[in-house]
Amino acid sequence: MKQRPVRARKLMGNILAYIGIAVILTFFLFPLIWEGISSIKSPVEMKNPIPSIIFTPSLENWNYIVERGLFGNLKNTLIISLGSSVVTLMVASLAAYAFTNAEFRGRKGLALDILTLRMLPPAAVVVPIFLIMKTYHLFDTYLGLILIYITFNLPLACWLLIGYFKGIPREIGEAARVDGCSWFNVLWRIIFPLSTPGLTTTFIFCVLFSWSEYLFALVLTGRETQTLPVAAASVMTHFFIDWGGLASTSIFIMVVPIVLTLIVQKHMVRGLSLGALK
Amino acid sequence: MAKMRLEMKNREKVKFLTEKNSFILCLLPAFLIIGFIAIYPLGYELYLSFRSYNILRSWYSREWVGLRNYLDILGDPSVWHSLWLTFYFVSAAVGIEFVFGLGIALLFNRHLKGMNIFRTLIVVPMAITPVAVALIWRYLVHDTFGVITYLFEKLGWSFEWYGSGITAMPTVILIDVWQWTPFIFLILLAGLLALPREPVESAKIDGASNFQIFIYITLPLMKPVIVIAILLRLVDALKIFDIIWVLTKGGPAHATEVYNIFIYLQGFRYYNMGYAGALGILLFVGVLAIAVGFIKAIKLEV
Repeated sequence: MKQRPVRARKLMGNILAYIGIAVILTFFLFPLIWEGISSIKSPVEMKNPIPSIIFTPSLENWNYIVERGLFGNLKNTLIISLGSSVVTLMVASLAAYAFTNAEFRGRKGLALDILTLRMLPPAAVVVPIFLIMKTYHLFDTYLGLILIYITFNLPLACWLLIGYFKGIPREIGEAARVDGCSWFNVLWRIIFPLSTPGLTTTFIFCVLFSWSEYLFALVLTGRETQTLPVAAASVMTHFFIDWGGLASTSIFIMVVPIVLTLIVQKHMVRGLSLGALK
Repeated sequence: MAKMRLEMKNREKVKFLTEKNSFILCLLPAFLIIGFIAIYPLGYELYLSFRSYNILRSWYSREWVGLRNYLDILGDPSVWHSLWLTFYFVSAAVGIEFVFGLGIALLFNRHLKGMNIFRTLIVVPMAITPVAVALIWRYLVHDTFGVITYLFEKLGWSFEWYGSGITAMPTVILIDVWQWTPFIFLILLAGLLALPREPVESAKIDGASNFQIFIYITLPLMKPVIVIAILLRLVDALKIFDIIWVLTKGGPAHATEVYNIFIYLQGFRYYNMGYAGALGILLFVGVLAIAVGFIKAIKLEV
């Protein structure tokens, strides 16, 4: 007797929930879908003040990416983000290894000091860094931006790796040490293989940051090393804004970050909370 | 005897390597990089902040001006304006993101078909390069070609979005909310999923309403996660630059000129490196205070 109203109420609740979810997903996804649709409109269609949904698709806007040489910027972004992420991973894993496997005074304090760097807004140091990079002739070089990204990625990478390395029982390393394995080999042959998922996730987080960073890239790159976000933003410096080119460019620069995010999706919370939540 | 001595020697060597020197070697690269790219620039910035240094004038004009830059900052209405805008932006954006994110997390915290896909899809905005986000929204709310402007006009609401001083900052906040609510959502959802079931179930047996359960059980249990989510978002919101720079460059008429934009303009448009340096030092000190509080609150374990 009582079962039916309960079931009906549950069904109603679920329907309402689905409606709510649909509204929320529309809010978050509509801008992307619209930008995707716009990127395959013809320039004439783009200028129609009444937005249209039915039109003949055209790839003209995508030619713009080749015309403006965005593949060159893609190359720069790839070199800078992969280069900085590889070095970050090496430096951070050494540090995380020391933090998790050695006992020394001020160990925790030091690890937390590194974390402070994670909070530093780039705007607070962009002026002196620009002047220093000019002085050392690192302006408009790959190395300059790579060094910056290593520094700004280190805190997160260290803390994520500390979390992953802590998950490996210390006894394994100690047993290997007794058997004559060197300190470095414990890291190289035992800890690294055991924390491959953690290393991959950390690497991807570093790439995500370096890929999208704008302020330093804007200030420190010139003709030679301009990264994708800087090149994309400069689409609008012209008097005439090419909205179609703008649409295809934004889609072009966000494909890689979206794919990477979907790959690390399961580890997202851990990464975002610096390992505080798992 | 000889064998024992050898063993002793080995043991000493092992101890020597683990506890004294090796960890220094391991930490060295990290600290060299941090020293060169973070500490050295900060020191240099402190030095700059006591000088009048304009890059357009000759290299030798870097005269010592004592505290003049700092005094100028105190008396500069543009600085106070940018501080107010920063406060306005951060509090409104983080506040809305929290309320909205919590609501979505509660809605998505149930077993429905397709829920995993929904949870994944909602995270996408967070993944997008902020420059692309600003470009997308610039088009969406453009006064002639923007589809959202068009739809709003159909409903009878017409305003200029980022084109007018009154609505420019709310537009920036809207974009930030669009991009970063998923961040709060993800962290709060993880917190909700990790909650123990027993307290809620026993409260239900005792006849508590859903609202009572939420206020007296869920929220208190979620407090540590909420603190982490809000603090992390706060710290990142203080870094705002990209979206505003691409959308409005601080305009119209300084309506979105937050502190970070102000520093950039001083340094790279007017080339007042000394003044911009002093502004940077003040930002660093302010954020350091927040960071220390943050690290105390978040309780990380090494």
